[in-house]
Amino acid sequence: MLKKILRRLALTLIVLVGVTIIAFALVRLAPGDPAVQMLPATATQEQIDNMRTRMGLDQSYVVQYFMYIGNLLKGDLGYSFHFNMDCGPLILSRLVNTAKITVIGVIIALIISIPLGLVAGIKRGSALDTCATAFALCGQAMSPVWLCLLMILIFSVGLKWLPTQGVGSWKNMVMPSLCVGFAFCSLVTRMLRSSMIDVLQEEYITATRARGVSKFQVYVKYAFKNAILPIVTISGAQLGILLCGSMVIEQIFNWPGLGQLTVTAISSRDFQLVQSILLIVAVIMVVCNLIVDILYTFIDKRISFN
Amino acid sequence: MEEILKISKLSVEYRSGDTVAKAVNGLNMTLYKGQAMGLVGESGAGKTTTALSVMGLLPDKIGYVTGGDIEYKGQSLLKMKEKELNTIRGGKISMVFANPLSSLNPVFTVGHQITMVLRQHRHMTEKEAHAEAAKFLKMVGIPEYRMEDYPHQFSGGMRQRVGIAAALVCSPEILIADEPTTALDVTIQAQILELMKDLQKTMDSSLLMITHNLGIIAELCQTVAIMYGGEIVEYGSVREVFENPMHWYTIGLLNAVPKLTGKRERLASIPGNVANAQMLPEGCKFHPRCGYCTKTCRTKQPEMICVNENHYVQCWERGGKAETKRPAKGGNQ
Amino acid sequence: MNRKDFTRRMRKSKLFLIGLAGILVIAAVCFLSPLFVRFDPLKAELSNRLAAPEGIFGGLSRHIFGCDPMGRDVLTRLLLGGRTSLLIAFSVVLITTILGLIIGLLAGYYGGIADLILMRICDIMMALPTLLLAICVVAVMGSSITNLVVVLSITGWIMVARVVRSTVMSIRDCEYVKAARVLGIPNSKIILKEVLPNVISPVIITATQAFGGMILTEASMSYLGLGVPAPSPSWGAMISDGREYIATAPWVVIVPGIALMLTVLAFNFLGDGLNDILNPKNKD
Repeated sequence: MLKKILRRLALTLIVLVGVTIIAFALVRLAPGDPAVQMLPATATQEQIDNMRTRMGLDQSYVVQYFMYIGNLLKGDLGYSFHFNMDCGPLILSRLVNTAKITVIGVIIALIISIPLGLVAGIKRGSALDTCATAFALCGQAMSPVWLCLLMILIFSVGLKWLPTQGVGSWKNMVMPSLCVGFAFCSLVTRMLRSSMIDVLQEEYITATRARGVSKFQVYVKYAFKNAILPIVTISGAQLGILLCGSMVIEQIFNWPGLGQLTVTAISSRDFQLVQSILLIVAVIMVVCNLIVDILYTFIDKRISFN
Repeated sequence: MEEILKISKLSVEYRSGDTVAKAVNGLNMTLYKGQAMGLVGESGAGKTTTALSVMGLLPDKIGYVTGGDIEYKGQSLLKMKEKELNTIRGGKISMVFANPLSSLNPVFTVGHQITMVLRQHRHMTEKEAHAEAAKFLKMVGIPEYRMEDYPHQFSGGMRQRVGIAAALVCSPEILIADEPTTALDVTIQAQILELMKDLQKTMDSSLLMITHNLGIIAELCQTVAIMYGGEIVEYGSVREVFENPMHWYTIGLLNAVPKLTGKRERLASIPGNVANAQMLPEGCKFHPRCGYCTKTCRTKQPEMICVNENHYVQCWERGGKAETKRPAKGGNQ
Repeated sequence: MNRKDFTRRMRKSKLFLIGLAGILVIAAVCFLSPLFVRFDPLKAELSNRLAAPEGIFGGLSRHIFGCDPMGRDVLTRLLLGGRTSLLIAFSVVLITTILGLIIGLLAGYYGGIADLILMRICDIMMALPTLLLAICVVAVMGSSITNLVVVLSITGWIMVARVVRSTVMSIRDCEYVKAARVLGIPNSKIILKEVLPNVISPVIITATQAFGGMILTEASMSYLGLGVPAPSPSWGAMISDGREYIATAPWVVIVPGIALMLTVLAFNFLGDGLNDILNPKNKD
């Protein structure tokens, strides 16, 4: 067990180091001199050179990389010239905003998709199954851009119920959350349906029925636990992706989350910030996967932590 | 003797798209209290289908009972409501499945898979059920401390023991065992059979043993039914049928059993393939493979005839002739 | 699976037939569009700004789906944009498939250090969402159609490589491959003759299923202004153009959105259908 945990930690470390290399390379490859960007447009060449020395830009790339890692280890994620503040607190505050709509979106998605997928899988071929499948297929084929605009068209332009963008009241969170949850919802519905169909053909389900357990209990208590496993497996990566913020959705609703921050950072060519975001995103993804793996071992004892 | 399970003229079809497979065709069978009966046949003869029909567990929207009836103590199981059936399944009639590797749910502890039967039928509390389940596991040779373990932590033989414990924990009146030892090693097979024999005797349950292994029948059962093409072609006491087989299929089966003693000779096999349930032949279903086939066999379905009170056979060639000439190569064991 | 069996399953799979028909129609209409479109897709004509759809009864010389904020015909841009989208997606799927196939085959068959490195690269790439990575790289490299294809290929090959690798690993341990090795048949020949035919079906399925995702990613990138550079038409950019006018001229957004959904839907149908047909696990 200990060996497995250590192995897992080592793999995580490799991933994080890999991401720092990608992030570092990206900043060095990006057009424009970071030192120039840090200074006002009126800066003299001397000031620029000073800045370069201060930022270590006159050193070799290897040295610069290790300086970067050193700063990271000290907890310094760098400085965003666009926002004029440290990247750390900036990213954190945006992450909280993204988490708000993600949590709501995911909860709504689960409330809808789990019963829908279950019933569609059990009543295979019924009208409800057809509807659920159609919903899932369309949901996965829909561009998030289009979904958001369609919602705005319906709820803001047509019905005038909800504001199109901004923050403040709960009303602002409704559409972003729904859009965030939508793709996840259709994915879970579709996977749960097919996984339920597979599980219900297993002999152990017939065996459970042969012990006199009612159909309803077999579905909800037994088959569901088997069928949810593949969904737990994929939901790690999915949750990670959602928590990193949907750039498109946050951009459209002007929701100040991590995704919108990324778009701003890229369009203002603030590569220090981009670099830090990449790293934080990787950490989120790794942590989400880890949590899901641990969760998985609790549901399915066959897979021990690896 | 009290009739406990009576199957009359049962027909079952599997439908998928345009294809229809007639798995069971007018099967008649009676099981008496405390009796152990063997149901023998090749793969595809309809044995498992018969068992699943009794349990009312034919696969949804694929398997259909198209005719006949199954009566448990005079009550029709086919007409019974789902709720009543649930009190019978696992409580009065229970089943041991062929493959212990796939018949236990991998994400529940073995303890849970047994207590769930008790809680279902005896309405016990968690604690009582746990104690009772532990007792049964001990009976099948699994120590109590293993109750919290998961199926994958057990060997195939141990898992089948769990399956048997789960089937017997409510002392059912009928136990259907569907090839319970096929997936196991030979040495383990003997242990499991011994166990089933003991438990069946102590609980005074009736046993319907489904297998293609004639040795198991000889070991465990008093009566035997030979199944071919979804119907029973020969039926009687084990002694009668094995010593004096009448149906040419039974004779073929017995000839195909390798013998350890005596001169080495070529094993006889039955020519041809098992009857295809999608295209059953006219007349006697065995006639394309039978060496003694007559004109009547090809066109008309034979009736079950009585050889003596312990022996029935369904064969035109034997029709009316109780005296039989034994085949040159003796077929009994 | 023999050819007869394959054709029979193909005819039976509704998903496959619908998907295939849909894609053929969409591709034909988009690629043949230069033959019949009547408007210039790039030239702004402000007198037609946000002109409302006129329907099909006026024939092709009218604005069937209306005009966009620059007064360009939506239908014309839609068809030409579809051509770009399909071409990009096709190139990316082709490149990723070839790349993923080669890398997956080598890593899966030889294992060892190559496999270890591949898996770690996969881990690292999977730790960054595709869209995020793609956007960062485009931001550095600059946006052009070529760069878009390169970026989507860089992020896309992993899927294929993983599928190939795991299939190869299960085949590698099969008796017939072991037998071939014992007989002294060179590895290159075993890979080509014994292993490759077995990975073809999963690769085809993965590639088809990736198609829809590629089109959606391209649309999202174009929406964010990091995809197909303006003024070339692309569905994502068209939706983006119409965003501000959604209340007054919803057709500018709705038309490319529906086209996008139908196209992705057709590819997903085809992918699922192929999965039904080619996967030996799915009996009929």
